Amino acid sequence: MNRIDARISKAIDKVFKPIYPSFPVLLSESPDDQSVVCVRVFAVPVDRVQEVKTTIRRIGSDLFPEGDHMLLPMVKNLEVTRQYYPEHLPAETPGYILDTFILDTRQYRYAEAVSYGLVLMDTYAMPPYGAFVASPPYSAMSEHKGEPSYSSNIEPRAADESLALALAA
Amino acid sequence: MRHKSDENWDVGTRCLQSGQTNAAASRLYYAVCQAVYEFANKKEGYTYQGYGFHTRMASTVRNHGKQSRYYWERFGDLMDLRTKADYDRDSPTDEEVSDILTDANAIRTFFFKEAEK
Repeated sequence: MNRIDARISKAIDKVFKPIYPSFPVLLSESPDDQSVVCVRVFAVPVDRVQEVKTTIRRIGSDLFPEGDHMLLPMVKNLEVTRQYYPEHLPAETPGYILDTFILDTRQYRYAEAVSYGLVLMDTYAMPPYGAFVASPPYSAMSEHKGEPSYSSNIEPRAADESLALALAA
Repeated sequence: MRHKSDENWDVGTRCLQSGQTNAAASRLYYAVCQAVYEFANKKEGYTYQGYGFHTRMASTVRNHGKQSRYYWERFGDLMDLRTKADYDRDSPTDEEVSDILTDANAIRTFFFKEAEK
């Protein structure tokens, strides 16, 4: 790993991952230009794609203000990840998949998370990194044409803790 | 460089019309790149040297014009589509390529005009 790669990896670990801990990230040099580092991020809900791109661009601008290198955000939404990069779906746990839907609790609406979590608490196990695999509630199915319902304005930690408490109750 | 850019743009838009989104994204990206390169070459004395070319093109977009920040982001989106088209398992969608067409042409037009000044 050269010095530039190390700086980028460190920035992704220290800045990006704390904000988006559940989105798998893959760094690779562009095949056409070694000064471009492709930052592929997987399993991002459609309504957060732009936000993730903006964050990566900001990190790139901070790291390389002279513009001699660049980070190229390549964000794969949930559906694309599910279809083309299943190995990058977080918390994929064969045996617990009912309907091939991946629900990230941190983007999951609080009320639905709690009620749905209570309904499922006897049925499903929670993987250690806070996401679980299950079929979505019918309300989520109908609202977003098959995409799980989510909201980006809730505090991720609060949502995780709420769901954990609900499951422990 | 103008005629090459026009040729790529023409092929790219026809590929998009026929649903060939990978070829479309690739050709449209290079059509824009060639306009930016024309400017960088004429106004800044930059010549293609392989390493750093795409970063230099993005940097040039970012540093010129009133809409430089927006154009830089859209140029990055186009670079993403083109990289996806050439190397990734998934392909740019018709919607993604159609969505970027207007901005891509605006960037192209802007840099050709600037190169002529």
